[in-house]
Amino acid sequence: MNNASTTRLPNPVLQARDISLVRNGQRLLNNVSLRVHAGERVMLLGPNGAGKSTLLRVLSGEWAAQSGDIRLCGEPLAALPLAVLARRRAVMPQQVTLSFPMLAEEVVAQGLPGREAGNSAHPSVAPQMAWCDVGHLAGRLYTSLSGGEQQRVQLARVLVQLRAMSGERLLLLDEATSALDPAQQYRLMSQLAALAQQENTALIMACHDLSLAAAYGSRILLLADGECVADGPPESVLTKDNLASVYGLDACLDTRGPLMQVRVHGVCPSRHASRDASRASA
Amino acid sequence: MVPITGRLPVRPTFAVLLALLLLGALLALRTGPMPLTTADVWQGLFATDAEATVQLVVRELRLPRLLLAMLVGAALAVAGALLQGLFRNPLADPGLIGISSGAALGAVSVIVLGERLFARWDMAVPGLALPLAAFACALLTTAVIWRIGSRQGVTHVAMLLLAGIAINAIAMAGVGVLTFVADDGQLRTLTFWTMGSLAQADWRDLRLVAPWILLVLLAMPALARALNAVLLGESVAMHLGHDVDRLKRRIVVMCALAVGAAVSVSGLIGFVGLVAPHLVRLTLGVDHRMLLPASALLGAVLLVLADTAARLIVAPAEFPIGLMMALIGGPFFLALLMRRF
Repeated sequence: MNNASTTRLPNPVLQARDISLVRNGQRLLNNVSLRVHAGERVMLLGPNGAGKSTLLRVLSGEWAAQSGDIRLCGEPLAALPLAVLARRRAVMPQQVTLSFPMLAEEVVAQGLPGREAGNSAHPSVAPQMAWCDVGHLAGRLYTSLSGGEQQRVQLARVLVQLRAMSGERLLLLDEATSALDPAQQYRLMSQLAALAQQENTALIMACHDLSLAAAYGSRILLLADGECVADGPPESVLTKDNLASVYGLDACLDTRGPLMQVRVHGVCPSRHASRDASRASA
Repeated sequence: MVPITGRLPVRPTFAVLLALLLLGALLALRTGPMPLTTADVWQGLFATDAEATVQLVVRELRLPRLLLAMLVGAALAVAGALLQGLFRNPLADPGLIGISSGAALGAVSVIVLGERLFARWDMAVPGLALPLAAFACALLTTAVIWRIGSRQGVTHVAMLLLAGIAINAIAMAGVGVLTFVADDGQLRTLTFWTMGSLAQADWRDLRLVAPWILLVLLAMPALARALNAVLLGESVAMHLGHDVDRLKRRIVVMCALAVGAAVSVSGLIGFVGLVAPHLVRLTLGVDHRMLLPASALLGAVLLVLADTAARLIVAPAEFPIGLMMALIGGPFFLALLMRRF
């Protein structure tokens, strides 16, 4: 770790270099590298199967990469005990289903650390539920909630875990707002972006909503077939060429309003042809 | 899904369960071919100058049987609660997924083949061999079911139940083969044993299984938090800092211990592991910190009452308690299925 970049301050919360992952004979990640500092909001974009969720699983420590080096707050991820890991990073998976009648507040209280876990009367539970606009659902059964409500309850659980941490931390969200209505999506995303900036948090979020990513990401990491195609601010990543080659979309980034957004004109006619061609040339 | 959100307060519910257990115990000590009054029971238990027969009946026959019923009920209920939490499915039960029948095959093997196999050793060995075989087979079946039912950290409940059906069938075929080759004496032991019975309970049985079951009961609170997190999924539990693989291994061993021990002294008693945790979830909720001890208490209550009823309904003969639980638990299970789907 003695390359020139480590002398730059501050140190990244998360540093991943050349991570590759093969599962069941399929190469899911190929030499992906990224470094994320506290305050950054990195949006993972890419078509279905590009490796967004896989990358989040590897970064969270759930799956071990075959090669590469991942450091969380300077320490090798693989060497950190699970309990320590749980005090430095919080993760929200795509979907959480329950088969037992658990109350929403009980689900949220699972995020509390150590002996407090499950204590729904803890002073942190109600504020985080209110933050996610689910305070009124505290006494409802989780299984009786709508998809969007369940998602916000899970986010509250993740925030309970995150806000019990001290120091720099990492927040990994896998399509955290996919089931929300547009107003809730934009409201929560702006809250999360503010949280990342103000609370020493590096945020990495996998997302399918290009405009949402452009509006709130400070950086975009564009993945295709397990490889990093582009990494940088939205203006430099969400170019017409990248959107066409990765998504097969005829689209461009509109930077005029207060929030950047991706304007879609249509689908490229030769999507599969162009992807196959680029693969063949690579 | 179960539509009930109204929950009972925790402390009074535990108090009621304890009171029920004490009442059940008193009833169990009074009931039998020789009916006793409460005063007799008291004398038989604590007085040094009590009538010899009363003392014998209470201390040597009914007390060990009562304690065994409590331990077996608690063990089966806790094993059910642990498995349901681990598999994230309220229908998991040591009987249903084949652990009990695996243990039964081990125990029946010892009953039938034991004399031949252990003839050279001391008489004490067959006595120890039965619970050991039951435990080993319980562990083995749990491990097999676990391997079949989960791929890459995901437990497939359908696979699990199907594997359970297959293992039940295989184990029962094994028991059938052994029944076929058994002689008359063995056949009688074996039949009573597969129907489940506490009639043979004595202090030796109790000494044999109590340590294992108590070990499981003492160790279980340490798993409660991790099990709560597992309700949200294995990866979420891992994100929250719990070592899910270690939890799985512990639960598998604990269930094998509890079920193996219970089956080795009482034979096959089903549905306790299904009914007790389910009733507790309806009344107290799904938090394992309360669910596990409350299930243990309720399992003990259920089995003590069932065993007492088994002595009453066809007196002076005894109705096999395993059949009794199946007669009550079967319809309960069906009702559970109909509510759920």
